[in-house]
Amino acid sequence: MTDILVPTLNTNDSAAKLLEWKAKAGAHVKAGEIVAVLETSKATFDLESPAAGILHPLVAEGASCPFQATVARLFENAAQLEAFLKAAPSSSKSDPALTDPMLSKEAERFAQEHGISREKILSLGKSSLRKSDLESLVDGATSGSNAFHTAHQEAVARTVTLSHQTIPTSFALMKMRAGKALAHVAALSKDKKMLIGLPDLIIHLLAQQQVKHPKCFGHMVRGRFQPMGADIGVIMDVGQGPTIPVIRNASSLSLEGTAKEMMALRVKAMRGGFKAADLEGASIGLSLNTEEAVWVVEPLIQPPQVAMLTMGAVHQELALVDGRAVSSSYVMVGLTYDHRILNGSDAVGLLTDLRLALENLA
Amino acid sequence: MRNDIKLVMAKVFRMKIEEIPDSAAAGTLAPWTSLKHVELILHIEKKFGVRFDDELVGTLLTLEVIENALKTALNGTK
Repeated sequence: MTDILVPTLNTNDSAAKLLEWKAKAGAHVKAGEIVAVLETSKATFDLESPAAGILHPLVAEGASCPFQATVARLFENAAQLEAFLKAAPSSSKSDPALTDPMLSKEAERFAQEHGISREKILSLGKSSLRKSDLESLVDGATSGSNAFHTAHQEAVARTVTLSHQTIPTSFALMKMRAGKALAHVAALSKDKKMLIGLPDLIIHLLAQQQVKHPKCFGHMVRGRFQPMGADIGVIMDVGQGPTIPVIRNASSLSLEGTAKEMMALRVKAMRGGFKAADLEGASIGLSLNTEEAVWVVEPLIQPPQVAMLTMGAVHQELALVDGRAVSSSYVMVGLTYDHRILNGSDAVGLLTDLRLALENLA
Repeated sequence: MRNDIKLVMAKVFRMKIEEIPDSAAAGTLAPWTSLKHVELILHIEKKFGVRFDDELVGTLLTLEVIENALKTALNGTK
């Protein structure tokens, strides 16, 4: 029996994604024959069989495989394979659709030493695991940082990684005068006896831009852009980690309606009451970072979206108006955009129209 | 009770308690924004051990209204 290992492909990554098995389970392969295709953050690589034999894959397509991990085994004959399948645990007998994650050798040793159950390992929801992944499962873990390592944080980290690895982004930032906008929402709040804020107004105005800037609203699916309506995903964090509920068809809502919808979503965030449907299908994202003194936080695009808008806190400055120095409010608004579909001129175009709408409210 | 609510407000809004008047209201107290409002209500619920109806949360826009809602909620739990 011969193990097929993932080679150490570069120094930037610690694992590679197994994109595709080129040879099927049970196939007789030759030494040097390409049996799989691997992908790192840099490039794709052909995985060659180190010997001739009958192939038995151990991981599914799409799995992340640490360097030097075993992804398949080669058997000299059918009898040897059959004997292995009889002796091996059930998870090793199945084809590449198997559900157990693959453990690095170090992780295997760690799991045995600490008696970590299969159920606990499965609860991590990952296709491959290293020792560091398992440390959080051990009571009194040695690393203090694990106390903050939650499944939610893990999901956030996966999205961040995916965004960084798959989307070629740029960022445009624009300074917008906010005096008229603030006066507008204050007056409307008083009139409607409800709380309407600058973020509600930004959402409302952003939604209005969908008709003129359709390339900013949509998904990249298999390399093609699919335009969508103004379904705006707004990042909310009320202390339980960020979630991104979606304001559906936001262009059909009045400013008052947008504010009501935002309040309802914030209450849901507070109660932890979101369902999957509340969080799916946004065509563009919005990151609100209005804590005092924040200028801007550069946001990450949420795949498969192609853009995310960001807004900072309101600041004050002195401005010259008719030759006189007066106090003026302004806010920074930026757009992170996917260069596969949008260019700087598209981003600046959207921001300019947003600025003009914000600064010239009646 | 009013002072306890102010203590929560001071913490959420990062202000001194002396800076929060009895007339405090969203729209007049600068840090009381639409984004901070839900955080305020969440902390008040925790502090006083109550839970407001979801529909009520968006209407608790002055110190006085919050105080009255709290009294009602606390009476209801006795």
